[in-house]
Amino acid sequence: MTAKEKPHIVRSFDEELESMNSLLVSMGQQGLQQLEKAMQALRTRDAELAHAILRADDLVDSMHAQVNTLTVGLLATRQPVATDLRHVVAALKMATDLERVADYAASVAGSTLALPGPPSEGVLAKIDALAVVVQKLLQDAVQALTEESEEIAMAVWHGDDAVDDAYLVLMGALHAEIAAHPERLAVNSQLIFVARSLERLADHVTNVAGHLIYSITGKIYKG
Amino acid sequence: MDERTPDASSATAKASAASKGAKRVPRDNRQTVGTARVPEPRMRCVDVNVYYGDKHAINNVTMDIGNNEVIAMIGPSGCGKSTFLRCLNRMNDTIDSCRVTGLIELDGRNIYDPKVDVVPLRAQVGMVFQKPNPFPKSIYENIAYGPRIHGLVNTKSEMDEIVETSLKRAGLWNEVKDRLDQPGTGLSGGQQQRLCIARTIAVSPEVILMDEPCSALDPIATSIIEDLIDELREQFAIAIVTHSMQQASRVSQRTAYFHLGDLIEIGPTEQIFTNPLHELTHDYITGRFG
Ligand SMILES: Nc1ncnc2c1ncn2[C@@H]1O[C@H](COP(=O)(O)OP(=O)(O)OP(=O)(O)O)[C@@H](O)[C@H]1O
Ligand SMILES: [Mg+2]
Repeated sequence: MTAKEKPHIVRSFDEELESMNSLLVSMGQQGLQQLEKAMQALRTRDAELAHAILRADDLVDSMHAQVNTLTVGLLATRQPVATDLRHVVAALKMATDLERVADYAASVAGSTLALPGPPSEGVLAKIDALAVVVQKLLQDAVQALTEESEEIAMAVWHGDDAVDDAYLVLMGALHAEIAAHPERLAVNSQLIFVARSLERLADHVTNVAGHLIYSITGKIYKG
Repeated sequence: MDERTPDASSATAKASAASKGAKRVPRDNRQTVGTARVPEPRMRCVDVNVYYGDKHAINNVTMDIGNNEVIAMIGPSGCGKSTFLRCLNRMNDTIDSCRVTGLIELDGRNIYDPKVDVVPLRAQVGMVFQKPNPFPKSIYENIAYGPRIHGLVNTKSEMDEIVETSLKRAGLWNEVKDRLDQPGTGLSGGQQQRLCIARTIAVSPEVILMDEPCSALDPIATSIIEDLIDELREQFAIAIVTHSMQQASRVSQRTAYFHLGDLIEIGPTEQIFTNPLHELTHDYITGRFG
C-alpha cells in the first residue's frame, strides 16, 4: 500500500503496515510452496515429504498469530481510518484465510500418508489438472497481494469457476472408477478427500481476493 | 456466478494495464465532492466567501446543516474552519477587516439581511468556544444572564427552573447544585465547559456552534461533553470544529473537510472515515503528507 499511497507523517506507522503486508505475502508464498510439495508428495507417494509438509504447517500458524498481534496493535495504537483501516481489517481476515489455505495443503499431505495404494493414471491426471488451476489461482492471489492489484484480485475472485469445472471433472472420474473398480475404493475415497481439500483451498484463495478488493476499493465482495 | 471469467490463467495478463489503488478525486480538483445539501436543512449556506482585507479565507462554500445532526468540520490549521463557523452567527461582524459574501439562511431566512438583529441571532445560533469562558459571576448568573437579556423569563421561579434544567441537560447539576452562588470561574476546566454549554442552551437555541470545545479537556471530561452533544442533537443542530479525527467520527453524522479555504469534501461521517472520495481528505485523515 505504501508504494501507492503517500507515506504517513509518522514513519513507524508505515513500517508496521509494511511488516503486516510482508507477513501476508509470506503466508501466501508459504501456502503455495506447501501446496506444490503436497502435490509432489501425492504424485510420488513420498511419505517423508508429506511428513515434512505436516510439520511445516506450524510456520504458517505462527505467521497467522503474528499478523493477529500486529493488526490488533495497529488498531489500538494508530486508530487507522479509511484505506489504513481497511488494510488492517482486511489483513486480519486474509491471514485467517491464508492459514486455512496452508491447512488444506497439509490435508492433502495427510491424505497422501493415508493412501493404501497408488492412484490410477487417469485419476492422477485429473487431480493434477485441478491442482494446476488451484495453484495458478493461489499464485495470482499472492501476486495481487504483493502488488496490491485490484485487477489481479478481481480476476482471482472470478477465477473459481475454473476450479469448480476441474473439480467436477475429477469427481466424475472418481465416481466412475469407484463404480468400475470397487477394489480401488479405499484409494479413491482418500482421493475424494484430496479433491475436496483442493476445492476448499481455492475457496479460501477467492476469499483472500475478496478481502483484498475491499482493502483497495472499499467495495465488499462476498462468496 | 455467470459473469465470472472461466479462466483464472488470464488473471496476470489482464492486470498488465491495471491502474493500482483506489480511485479518488485528484488533489488539484477543488470542487466540493460528496453531499453538501440535505432535505429541509436548519441552515443553508450558498457560495459563501470570506475575506480578511485582501486575504481570501473561505472560497465559495456551499453546504447545509441539517436538523438534529452533528456536523463535524475538520481540516488543517488555518484552513478556515473557525472563520466559516463564525459566519454562521455573524460573529465575524466583530472583526473589522472581515467581509462575508454569499447567502446564509437560518430556517429559510437570510441572517445577513440588514433587518436581522444579531443579538437574538446569536442566541438562536449559540456558540461554545475552545477555551471555556464563563463570566466572572456566580454559576447561577452565568446561566441566568442570557434568558434575562433575551426576556425569556418573568419570574424568579421560572429563572430557577431554566437554570436547573440547563445545568441538568449539560450534565453539571449534581456537581454544582449546592454552590450555585459561587463563581463559575472556580470550576474545573471540564465543568466550566459544561457551564458554557448550559449557558448556550439556556436561551433555547436552534443551532449550537462549537469550536474545538474539548481541546483543553481530559478524556473523561471529553466523553461527558461528547455524550452531551449526542443528547443535544435530539433538539438542536450542532456544528463542531475539531482537530481530533476520533472525536469527529464519534460524535458526528456528517463530516466536512476544509483545505485552504475550500470545502473539499462533505458526506456521511462513516463514509469519510472508511472511504473518502477526495485524495486530500484521505491524506489528511490518514495522517499522510499533504
Ligand atoms: N482576524 C483575522 N484577521 C486576518 N486573518 C485572519 C483572521 N482570522 C483568521 N485569519 C486567517 O484566515 C485563515 C483561516 O483561519 P481560521 O482561524 O478560520 O482557521 P482554522 O481552520 O480555524 O485554524 P485552526 O485549526 O488553527 O483553528 C488563516 O489563514 C488565518 O490566518
Ligand atoms: Mg480555529
